Amino acid sequence: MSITRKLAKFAVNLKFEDLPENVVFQAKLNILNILGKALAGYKVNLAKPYLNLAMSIGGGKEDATLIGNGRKIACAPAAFFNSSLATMLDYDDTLHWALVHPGNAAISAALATGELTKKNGKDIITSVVLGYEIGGRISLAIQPTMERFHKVWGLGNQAFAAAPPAGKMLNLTEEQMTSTLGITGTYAIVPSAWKYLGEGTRPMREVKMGWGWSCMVGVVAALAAREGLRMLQPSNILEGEEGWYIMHGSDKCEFNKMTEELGTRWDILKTAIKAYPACYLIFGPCDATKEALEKERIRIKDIEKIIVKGGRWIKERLSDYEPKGVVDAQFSTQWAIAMVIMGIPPGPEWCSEERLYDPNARQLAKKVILELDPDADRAWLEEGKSLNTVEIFTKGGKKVSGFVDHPKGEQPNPFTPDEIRDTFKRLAAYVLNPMQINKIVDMVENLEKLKNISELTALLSPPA
Amino acid sequence: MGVTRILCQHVVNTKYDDFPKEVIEQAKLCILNILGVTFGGYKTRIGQLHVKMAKDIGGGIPEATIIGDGAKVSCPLASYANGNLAFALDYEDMINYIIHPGYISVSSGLAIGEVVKSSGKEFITAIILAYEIASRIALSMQPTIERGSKVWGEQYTPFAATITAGKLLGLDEDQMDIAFGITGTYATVPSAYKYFGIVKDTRPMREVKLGWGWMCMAGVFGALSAKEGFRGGYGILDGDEGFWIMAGSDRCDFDKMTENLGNKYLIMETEFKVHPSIGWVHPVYMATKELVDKYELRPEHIEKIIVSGMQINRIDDYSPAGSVDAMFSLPYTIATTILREKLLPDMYSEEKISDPRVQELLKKIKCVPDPEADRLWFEKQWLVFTIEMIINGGKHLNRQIIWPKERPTFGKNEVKQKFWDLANLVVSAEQAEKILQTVEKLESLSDISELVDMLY
Repeated sequence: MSITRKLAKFAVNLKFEDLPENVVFQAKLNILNILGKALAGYKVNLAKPYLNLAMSIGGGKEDATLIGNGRKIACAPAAFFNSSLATMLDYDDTLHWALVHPGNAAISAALATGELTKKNGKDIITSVVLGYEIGGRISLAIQPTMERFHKVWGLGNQAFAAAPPAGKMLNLTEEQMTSTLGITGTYAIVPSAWKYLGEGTRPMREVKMGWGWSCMVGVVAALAAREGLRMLQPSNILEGEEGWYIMHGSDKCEFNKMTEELGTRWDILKTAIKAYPACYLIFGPCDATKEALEKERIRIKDIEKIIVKGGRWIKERLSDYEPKGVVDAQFSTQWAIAMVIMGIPPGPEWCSEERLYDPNARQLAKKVILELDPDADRAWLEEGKSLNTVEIFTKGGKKVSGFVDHPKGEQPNPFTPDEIRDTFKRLAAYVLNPMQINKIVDMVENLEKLKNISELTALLSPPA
Repeated sequence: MGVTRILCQHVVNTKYDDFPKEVIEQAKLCILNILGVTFGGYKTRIGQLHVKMAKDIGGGIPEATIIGDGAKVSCPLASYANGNLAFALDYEDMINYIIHPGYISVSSGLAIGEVVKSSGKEFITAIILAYEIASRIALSMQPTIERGSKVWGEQYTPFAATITAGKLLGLDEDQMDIAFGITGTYATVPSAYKYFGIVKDTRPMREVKLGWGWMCMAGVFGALSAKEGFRGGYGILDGDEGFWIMAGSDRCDFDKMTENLGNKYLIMETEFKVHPSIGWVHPVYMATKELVDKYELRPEHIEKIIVSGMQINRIDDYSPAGSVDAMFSLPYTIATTILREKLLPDMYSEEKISDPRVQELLKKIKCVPDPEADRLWFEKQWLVFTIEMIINGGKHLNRQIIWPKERPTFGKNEVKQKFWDLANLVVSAEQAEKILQTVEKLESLSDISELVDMLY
C-alpha cells in the first residue's frame, strides 16, 4: 500500500474514541488558541482586503461562517479567509520547530467544511487532530539538507494540514481521501520563503506565505475528490523519487517518517503556541528582553542601546529598523523588542497603523543593535534552541542582560491551559462581548458535547 | 532594475497600436482556437465536474460566464472553470512544448474582461502580452537535462493569467509587480512526473491533470489581490532565490527574459495542437495518418505495429483506464487514427475506450525506447519517432518522423475547421459562424461581453 494511501486510510478510519484524553484536551486548547488569534487578526487593516477577496470568490453561497464578520460564504473561501485571519498577526501555533503551522490550516478547514456538513464537536476534534498528525509528518519527512535549505525552502506542506480535516468532514471514502491528498500535492504552492524573508524583500509581501491560499488548496482538493475527480495511481503524490519532496524543492525524503507511529504517537501534543505576534525566531530575544527587564526596572528614556545576539536569521532576515507595514513589523526583531520594552500587549496593537507611526516606538527600535552569534542557527536547526542573549545598556552606564534557550510556548516551556484561556479572552475582547467570550470558552472546553458546529461558529462574530 | 520590474513595465506600457498587423491576426487565431477547444472540453466528463465545482463555490455571483454552459459565476471561478474546459481535451496550443499560453490567457481574459467590460482591442493586447511575457519566463528558466529529468513542471504558467487579468484590470507598474509576487507565491509545485510519469507507476492518471484551471485561478487571483490593495513582495523572478529555483529549476537565463522586448513576438511561434492529446504523440499521429491514407489501411490489415521514440515509457500505455489516460497513450492515438476516429471528445468516451476494435488494435502495438531520440528531445526539443507497420502478408511499412522539421502547417484554415467541428457540439452552426465573424473583427468590438454572450 502506498504511503499516500496509508495516510488516507488512517484519516478515514480515525474515530474520536481512538483519541487519548490528553490529545482531545490539547486539540481543544489549540482550537481556542486559533480562534482567539483569528479574532485579533480581524482587527488588523488587512482583514478588509481579505474579506473582499473571499467574497469575490464565493460570496454567493452560505456554507460557512467568516470569523469576526459573521457572514456566510462558500466553504472554500471561508477557509481561505479564516486561515488568513489566524495568521494575520503571525501569532498562531507551530509544530516541529516551525516547519509547519498546522493550527490555522487544520482548524479553518475543519470549521468551514464541518459547518457545511453539519458536523458535531467530536468530528471537529478528530479532524483537527488529523491535520496536525498528517500535515506534521509530511513536513518532517521532506525537510532538505542544510545546503539545500539555504537555497530554497517553503511551507507548501500547509495544504496537507488542511486537506485531511476537510476530507474527513466531507465524509470521503478511502479512495476519495487518497485523491484528495493527490490533488492537494498538485495544487500546493511552491517554496517561496526566501522571497518572503530574504535579502531585499522589504517591504514584505502582505500575503505572507500564502497561508489562507494553502488552506483553500486542501479544501478545494477535498471538494474536487468528492465531486469525482480522481488521483489513484499506484505511485501517488508522496511516493518515490519523483514524489512530493522533490516537487517542493527538497533534496531528501525520509519516507518512513510520514507514517511512523500513526495512531500511537500524537504530535499534536508537541504544539508550540505562539507567544508574540511575530516571527517565531524573534521569540527568544523577546523573552530575553523580558527577563532582563524583570531583573531591574529601566525607564525607556534611560536606554542607550539594546544589543541582541542571534543567528543569521535574526541578523539578516529579521532585521528591519523601519517597518513599513504590519508584516514588516511582525518580522522585525528591532520592532518586537521595542514593543516588549514599551509593554504593549501582544496582539493587534503591535502593528496598528497608529503604532507603526509612533515616533517613540520608532526611536526605541533604532536603539536595537543586532549581533551575530555564529552558533545560533545551528542550535535552532539541530536542537530547536533559540540561543538569544539581550543586553540593555543605560545612558548612565548600567547593563542588564537576559538569556533564554527555550522561549515561552516551546515544548520545554509551554503555556498552561489557563494562560491559553486568558490569552483567548484578552484577544477575543477586541471583537466580542464578555458574554460571548465566556460562552465560547465553555463551548470549546466541552467541545465533544457540541451537537452542531454551527452553534460555535455563530458565536464568532459580534451579535447583529 | 530587476527583470520582474522590466517585464511589468512592458506589460503596463504596451498599447494595441504597438503591435504589427500580423501579430494581431495571429492573436485572433489563437483566441479562436481556444474557444473551439473550450467548447470541446465542455463535452467531457472532467469538464463537467469542474463546471459543477465552479457553480458550487462561485455560484450566486453572476459576474462571468462559464463557456458552453452559460451560467454566470464569480470571476475567479469562471477562470477556474474555463481554464479547465480549455484544457480538458489537451487540444489547445503551445510554444516550444514548455508552455501552453492560450488556454490560460483566453480563459482569464474572458472572465476579467466580462467584469470590467474590456474592448476587443484591450482584450487582444492583453492576450499578446500574456503569450509574450509568460513564454519568455518559461524559456529562460528551463532546467539542465540532469535536473529536468528529475523534476519538471510548467509553474510559470499562472503568470500568463496575471498578465492578462492585470492588464485588463488596469494595474499600474507597482501593482503589476505585486501581482507577479502574489502569483509566484500561489503558483503550484512542479508535478509533471506525477502526472505523465512512468506508465506503470502513474496510471490511472490524475484527472485534475497539471491543475490547469487552478493555475488560471491563481494567476487571476494574484491580479485581483494586487488590485484589492495587497502590497510588498516585489521582484519575484529576480536573483538567486527567485521564482526559477522555487519552481524546481537549477538555472535561469535572466537576459533571455527581457532581450528584444517589443521587437520579437513569441505568439508567432504558437503551435496549434493538431490532435487532442499530449503534444509528444502528435508526430506519430501524423505519420500513422499518412500511412493509413496512402495505403488505405483498415484495422483488419494490421498485423503488428512497432513504434520507437522519445520518452516512450511515459506514454506506452496499452490499457488506458479513462479519458486522461487515453490522451496520454501513444498506442491509443495510433489505434484511433487507424480507426479514422474524428478528433472530437467522443474519441475518449468510455464506450470508445472499451470498444473491441480499439482493444484489438491496442494488442497489436508495441512501443520500444530509443535513447538517441531521448537525447535529441532533451538537447534540441526534437520529437523523433519511428513507426513500423507490418500489414497483411508480412509487408513492412516504415516511417521515421522528426518534428519540428516535418511539422505540417496548421494555419488559419485548419484552426477554423477545428473551431467549427468543436463549436458545433455546443452551439448552432449559425451561432458558430457569428462567433467566427466576431473574432475576425475582434478589434472593433467595444465590449467583450458581446462575444461572451455567444459562447453558450
